[in-house]
Amino acid sequence: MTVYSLFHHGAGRACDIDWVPTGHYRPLKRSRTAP
Amino acid sequence: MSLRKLNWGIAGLLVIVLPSLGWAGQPQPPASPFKGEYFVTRSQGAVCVPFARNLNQFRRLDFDVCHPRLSEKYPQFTRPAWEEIPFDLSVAETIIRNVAARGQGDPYWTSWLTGSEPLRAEGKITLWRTRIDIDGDGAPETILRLYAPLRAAYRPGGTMQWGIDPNPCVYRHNTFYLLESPNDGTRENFNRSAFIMADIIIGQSEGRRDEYYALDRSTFPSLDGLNIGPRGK
Repeated sequence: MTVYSLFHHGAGRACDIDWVPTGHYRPLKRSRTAP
Repeated sequence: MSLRKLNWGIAGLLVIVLPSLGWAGQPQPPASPFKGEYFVTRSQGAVCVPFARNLNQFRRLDFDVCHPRLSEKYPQFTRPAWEEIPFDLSVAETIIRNVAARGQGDPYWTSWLTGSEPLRAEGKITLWRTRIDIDGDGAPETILRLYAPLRAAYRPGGTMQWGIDPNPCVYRHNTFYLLESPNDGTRENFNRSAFIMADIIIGQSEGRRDEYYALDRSTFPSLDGLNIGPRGK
């Protein structure tokens, strides 16, 4: 999902966060988001 | 450089790089108790990694389970306090027309009106209001939220038809409208972007004012799998 910041008049793109189902390939880029 | 030296160079590079990648690019174990995991794939703010970690507190839930997904471990993330107000069809019309594509207001509104009729008859479409200072000027904006668990589909020929979503969710089926703001620019820009917003989240950080974020409805993981995974966009 894409997260937009509402600051500064409307929507500025802040982040993209992907959901990867268990058993599917994880993205190569490591973001250290596991709990 | 000889071919042998080049091969040794590549092999040496792999020895260095592969351990640092760790699990990257490997399938997750199918026997995991978790349904999946959220990953930040693009970050332009300090909110991204903590918010993804917050979402990952709920990895035992599949992505389409309706759940607030705000963990007590990440108290900096909350939602605005919404006050329910009486449903008003003319207000709903303003909100729905605002998110229609330019020049498509009439067919968009009339198809929504037809598709929403059963839910309106049951009182399942609701209106909410909050006052939050999204632009940080010290004066709160008044924002409306129309909750309507409907899903639009385009039929052959390009006409739109709204139907009741079989998986209603108060964190997804919202349409927002900025009603009042002392700043015309804030109002115009918010309402221009409102068609992408499914949910609004507050992010707090120490020593700073509340910051407000919208979650893009078009990039939620979808039932057909189109938006799942880093290549699913």
